[in-house]
Amino acid sequence: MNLVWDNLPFLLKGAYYTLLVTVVSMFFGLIIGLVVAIARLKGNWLVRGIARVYVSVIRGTPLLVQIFIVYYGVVDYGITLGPLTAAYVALSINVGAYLSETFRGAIQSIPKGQTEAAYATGMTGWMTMRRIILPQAARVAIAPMGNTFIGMLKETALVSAITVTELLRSAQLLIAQYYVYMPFFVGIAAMYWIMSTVFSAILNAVEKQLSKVY
Amino acid sequence: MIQTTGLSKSYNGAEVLKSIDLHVAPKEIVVLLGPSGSGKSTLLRCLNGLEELDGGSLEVNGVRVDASMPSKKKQAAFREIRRHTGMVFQQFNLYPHKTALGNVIESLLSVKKMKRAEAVQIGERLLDRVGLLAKKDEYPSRLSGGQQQRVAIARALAMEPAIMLFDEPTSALDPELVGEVLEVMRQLARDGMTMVIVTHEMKFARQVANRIVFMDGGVIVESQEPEVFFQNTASERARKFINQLQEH
Repeated sequence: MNLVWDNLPFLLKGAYYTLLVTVVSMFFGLIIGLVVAIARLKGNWLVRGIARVYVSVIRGTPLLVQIFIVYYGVVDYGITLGPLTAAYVALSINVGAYLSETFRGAIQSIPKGQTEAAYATGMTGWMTMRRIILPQAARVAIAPMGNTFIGMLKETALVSAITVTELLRSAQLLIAQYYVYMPFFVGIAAMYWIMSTVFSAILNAVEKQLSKVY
Repeated sequence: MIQTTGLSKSYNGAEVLKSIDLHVAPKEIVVLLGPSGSGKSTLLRCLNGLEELDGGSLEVNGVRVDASMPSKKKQAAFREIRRHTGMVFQQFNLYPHKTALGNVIESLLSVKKMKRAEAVQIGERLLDRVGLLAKKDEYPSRLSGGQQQRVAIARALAMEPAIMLFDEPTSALDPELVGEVLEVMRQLARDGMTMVIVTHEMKFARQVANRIVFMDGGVIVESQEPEVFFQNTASERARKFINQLQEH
């Protein structure tokens, strides 16, 4: 276990990348998810079709394959992404698909009467979405969104496969150096667990705050 | 003020409105009566485009909509109609994430792009008018049904509508809360508002309406002054309807 303590700064740097990849991907994933959800609900048949295929493909294929396609696959077409950029892109696209389903469900859960009331006062579809539906849907979506966020934190381990030195790869590098496995794996498991727990607590607090408003 | 011509509407092939010709004059108060499923709520909702019309045309406050218009044009016309038409729903449909005042001023801020201070002034005046100024900072979940409906009326009035549409405004209320909502509506009637009301409150209809329009099976069966309608109605169907109501 001393080995873990000695190499803690290195592991913490890995944890930092894990967090960075999670937060950045989650941020862009939220934007993608929202746009795709609205496209699926309000778009014409073509837009709806594209959105549906996107969600279906992303949810129906392994994340690791998606990561490889973004990092290695697109090189064939002359596009070279750095590992970190590829990680952001792949994970954003991936989490965006899942979040779009969360948002779609949340938007649909708002009673039709809300839209009708807004329309009846002369509001446009877009105004209604932005000022009436989305604020209410956000409250519905916050709990499943939190789960996605925690899931994301753990799935970032997969980007170790494209040489992003996040937490798992930091451990692997140390293992290659010291030839012992267990302390490092247990050490990073503990670090993942601590991060998940802290985020859960934060999300719970946010949820409580949001549900207090009305 | 309102004129529908040959207005018709179907759900999955079943015709719920069959060539309706309804005329409402300025400052007139028309109550739509009829058994459930007679099409009265659907007719009301067609007037501001919450239901799409399948045939015929209508003109509300000078804006004409024809069923054969392209859908973009229809939507724009209905949006124009809605800017001058207030609507009150059976289930209130207040925005739960906004306070009473927030509900009332929402359309002023978003549709009219009014400055907040100015909107608040109007909103407070309207809440005062429905007797709820003291509750302006409460969220709908903290208001009784009657209070919620009065806020909803204030919200509809915020856009200074020329016409108010009421879709069974008291049907979801506990009996003891009906009176306060009807009182606000009476006040509006006294102020000369043009109103089309779908309701089951017979006494109210009799007192306030200038005209009763009785519907059954998607057609207008009768259009009469209240006294004539309630005492000496011409049609068998209307008579049956009135008798049924008086039985309990």
